[in-house]
Amino acid sequence: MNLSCLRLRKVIRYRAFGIFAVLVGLLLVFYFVTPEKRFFDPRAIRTILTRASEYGIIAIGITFLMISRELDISVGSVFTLCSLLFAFLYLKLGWDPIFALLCTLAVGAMMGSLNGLVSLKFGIPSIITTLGTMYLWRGAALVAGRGQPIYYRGANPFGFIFTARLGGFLPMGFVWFIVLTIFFEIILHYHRFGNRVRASGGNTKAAREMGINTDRTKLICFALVGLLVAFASIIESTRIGEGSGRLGIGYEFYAIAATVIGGTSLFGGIGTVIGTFLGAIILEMIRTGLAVMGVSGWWFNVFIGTIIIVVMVLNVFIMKRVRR
Amino acid sequence: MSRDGAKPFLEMKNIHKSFGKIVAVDGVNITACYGEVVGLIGDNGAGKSTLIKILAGIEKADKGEIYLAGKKVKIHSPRHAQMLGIETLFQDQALVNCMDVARNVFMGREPTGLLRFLKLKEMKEESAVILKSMGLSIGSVDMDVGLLSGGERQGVAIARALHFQASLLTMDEPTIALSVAGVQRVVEYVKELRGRGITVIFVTHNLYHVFPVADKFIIMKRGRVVREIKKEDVSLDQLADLIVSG
Repeated sequence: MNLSCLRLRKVIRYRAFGIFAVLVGLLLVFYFVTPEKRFFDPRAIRTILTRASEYGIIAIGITFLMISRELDISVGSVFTLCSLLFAFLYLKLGWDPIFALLCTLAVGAMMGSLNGLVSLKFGIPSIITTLGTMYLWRGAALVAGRGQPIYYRGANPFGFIFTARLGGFLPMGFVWFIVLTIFFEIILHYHRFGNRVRASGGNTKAAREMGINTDRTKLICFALVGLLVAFASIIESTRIGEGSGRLGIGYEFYAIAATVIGGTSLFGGIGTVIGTFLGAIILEMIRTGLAVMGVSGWWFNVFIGTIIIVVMVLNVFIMKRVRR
Repeated sequence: MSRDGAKPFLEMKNIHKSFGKIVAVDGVNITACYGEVVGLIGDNGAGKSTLIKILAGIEKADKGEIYLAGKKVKIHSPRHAQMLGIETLFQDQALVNCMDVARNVFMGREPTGLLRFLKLKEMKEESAVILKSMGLSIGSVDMDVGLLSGGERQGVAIARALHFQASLLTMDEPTIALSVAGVQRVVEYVKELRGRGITVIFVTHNLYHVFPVADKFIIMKRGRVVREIKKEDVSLDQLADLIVSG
């Protein structure tokens, strides 16, 4: 096998390449099929970027977790609880916004860590643990908030940092999404922690035999998910002006879908944050494209489910071809 | 550390290990001298792999003592075993298929710089050097380990042990599922290790693979050592009879 062939295969195998091709393909499709090119209306594009960033930031954490061969489906409920918590601390108790932010991030990380501790210490599959905590945290949010939202009523605790639009167009939430994507992609591929995440998920037994504390590595990934969920919840709740029990519903589904579409393997060891970034944008492109075409929103779930299966099959197909 | 072939480098004294009611290792004594290749043989369930896991720090003995170069040690973890100079070649080679050769060679012991960022260039260069010194031509250390043949994977695993300057290498069924060429390559590696003065414990139930290279054989059955015999005192057929008869 000559080296140039190896390099080309490495590029193709770099999963984000395939995902980027899908994104470009979708752009072309929507360019031709949407009436009056409404898909490319600045408001439609901004909606895509805003929505993609809201669960995309969560999906960054899910990417690390899935690469380590774990899962967290409680993220939507954690999102809800954290949005209410921050609003409560800042608006009802009058805390300094920075302090309220740090406290909310800490609580989010703790909730993620709890998922990890229960799963790893007791050997319970994380999908089952987080199925339980999904209901636990959402129930807690409803009990604590009594089903009522907390409105910001014009208060903007962080000013432009979370709610502004760069150049009058680019939502700051999306800027944060880009920054976090770049940061965590570098960590995943060039930092010792990222290396150990991949080893822990790629072959947990081998990683342990080589002296890697896989439980600690996975626990950090669980905590990271909680932290990013809390951060995303603060961005969204300050943007829309409420902390509410209706926020975050279904975000576990979208975050996981973005991660899978982005090429992260459910079997561990393989994935990129850039792929997840593109996966989140693709999801929102489809949702917005369907809406602009006048297709019922219910078809969105049908499309997403189909795409997840097709993407996973394609990934397996490509990997098998490369290995021949 | 002196490399006197006559002196024992490894001594395991009265090692006991049970898993619930199952006695896996029952009062085992083993010695291995510097630069000696010990064939640890026996049928399935003899306790060989458990002994290796105790040396690797994956399991802890219930009772007994371990000495390395005359010094008593307690092996707490795989990382501790590595720090003591014990490297283990596991049955599945302990490699991560979706990671490249360089990352696998340094798994768990990655060289890092500022803020623990990986020194990737150093990892790749050193991996390439060590593989070349072993006569392994893989093509590129950027290649995922999952794309390598069985013998090449074993070569990477041995390269890892060599790089970290093991004093003792334990190999748990290193030839299992290998082709004829792969087995020959492993045997050559072991001879090279002996030439470097490294003590090797070669665990297998395949006598044909270990006989050409071992200096002595320790036969285990149902958790106990039933016989220890030097290679010059036994033939391959006699060895097989000893295992069967116990």
